[in-house]
Amino acid sequence: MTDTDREARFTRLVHDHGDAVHRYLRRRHVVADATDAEDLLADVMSVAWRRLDDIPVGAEAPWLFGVAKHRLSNARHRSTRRDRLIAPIRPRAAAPAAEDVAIADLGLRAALDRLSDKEREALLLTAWEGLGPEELAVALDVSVNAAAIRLSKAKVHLLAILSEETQESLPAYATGTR
Amino acid sequence: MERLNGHDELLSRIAAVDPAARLAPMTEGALDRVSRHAMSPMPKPWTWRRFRFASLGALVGSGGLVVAGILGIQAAGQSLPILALGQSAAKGGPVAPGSSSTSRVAGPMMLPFETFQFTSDPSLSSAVGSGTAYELSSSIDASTAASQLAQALSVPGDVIDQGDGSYQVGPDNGPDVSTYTSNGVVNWYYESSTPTAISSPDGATPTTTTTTSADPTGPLPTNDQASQEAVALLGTLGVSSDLGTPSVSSDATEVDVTIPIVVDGLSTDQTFYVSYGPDSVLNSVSGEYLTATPETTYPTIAPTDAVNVLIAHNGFIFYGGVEPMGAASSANASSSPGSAPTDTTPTTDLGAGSGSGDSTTTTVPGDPTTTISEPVVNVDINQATMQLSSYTLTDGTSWLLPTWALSGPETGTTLSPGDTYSNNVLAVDSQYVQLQTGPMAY
Repeated sequence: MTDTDREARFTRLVHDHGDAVHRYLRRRHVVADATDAEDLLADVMSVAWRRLDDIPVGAEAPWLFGVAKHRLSNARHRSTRRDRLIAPIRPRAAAPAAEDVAIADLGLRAALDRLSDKEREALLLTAWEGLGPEELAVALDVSVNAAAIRLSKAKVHLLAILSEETQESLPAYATGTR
Repeated sequence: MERLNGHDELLSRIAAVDPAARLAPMTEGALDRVSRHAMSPMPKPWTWRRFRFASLGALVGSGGLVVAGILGIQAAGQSLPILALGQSAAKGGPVAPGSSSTSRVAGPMMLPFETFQFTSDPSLSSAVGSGTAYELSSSIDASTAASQLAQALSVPGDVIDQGDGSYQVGPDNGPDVSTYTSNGVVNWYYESSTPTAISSPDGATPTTTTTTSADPTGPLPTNDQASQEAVALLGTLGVSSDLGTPSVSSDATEVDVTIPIVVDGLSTDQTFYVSYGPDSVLNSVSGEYLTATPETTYPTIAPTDAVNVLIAHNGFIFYGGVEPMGAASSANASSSPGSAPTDTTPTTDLGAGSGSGDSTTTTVPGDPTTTISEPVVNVDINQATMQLSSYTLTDGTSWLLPTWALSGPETGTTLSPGDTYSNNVLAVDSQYVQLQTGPMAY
């Protein structure tokens, strides 16, 4: 692939999927760090440029979601450590995550909170990013079968949680308690 | 009780609460900038460390004449060392344009990509100048700092090496002192989880504090009282930095004081925080032991040039407005030293969307017949103040670099009427700045 071909493919990749990756990041990043989501998008695309030859044709979006997941995880890790170090100077009521704020369906939000990270990610990638089983497998870096099983278990688990009384599991900011 | 029966219904219910559902699509211009940024070459930077080795060699070879010339501002030209930037040294450092402190902290429903129409107010200077770059360091190591702070704040216990470069005295639930070194600078904080009143300290007895029980319903200190106590407290803790004017905020339970560090008369983005509870009980205090050493004076761009940086990026830029050198020309970025912009009245959106200068539109994915008008925010930049902002170079050192703090009133499709746009743009002329975005953690 010539440099020109490479640049053309990458430019097309960014234009085809940049907005979706940005949405992925905004859905999962903390409200106060909205600007960081844009920096994270730049990071994700820098990785994509360096590893352009590794990106599977036809599965670009889930591959990018996988990179975004790692970048987000790193950012959250740094943020957690930073928060621990500067916690005393932060406002006492920390901002909830973007997805938490947006989910006015508090019963659903509380139920999603009780899922494992892996289960929740499988569900949200399906419901929000619209991934099918094959794409979900790429994004989660597991086999198609494993991805389908994880999604199925997540649905069953969530339904079970939703069938319980959820009031006691509502987040503190929803119940007005601390 | 929930009444969901099917998995499809479940997914629909989750999809219905998509926090990004109302986000405007990214514009073609914004995607272009992401693409250009990612593909920008990242040449091996000329770090300060390499520069110093090179300077030493030159000194040995030519009796110091070359180095003297390199270090002198008169001989600036291309011989000044390149500032190879990594990322901002502090979270509170230079704010990326497009994220002003007043209106760009977006909520999940906020449209993220406004079209900004920046103009330079006629009162804004178009004169270039110069500014000093300072290397930051600490004259004390983190372990010793923890010990001294613990003594000054009457925190009992030994200094515990946390194993990750940080040190702690006292239990996790407080009161405790923690320190860590970040890019050569010792950061520290103290937190008291139990009421610990600090007596009014005096400069002659820096380690004398007293502990008393406090009434949690007692009165909060006034803003003036809190400011004065905070400044006095920092003196007892061995802080020798020049301090700027404290700013105070308060709620029903505490009063927080923020005090900026001043270097050679310029305000910086480095600050101390002190928080007081009822009866002036010290809740927490944090800061850093900072020594700013002047290294080199660089040519700086004019305030009007800094406004052009905002225009060129239309509020979607990285690392405080700095671009990789190889990409600078493609971004229509501003200015070379000594050359005032030929047109100081920027006209239209140079970077985003259709570039028409009017309200730009974006088609909805999957529905090309439907367009969404982007909010247009007009900003007349009428204030430009030179400040110092922290950056980390790729060799791991921290620096304070000259920065233009720009601000001006917003009109048009503002998110909150009456907002003032504010943002910082690196003032060091771009030919002396190089950005490296790696190494990647992924």
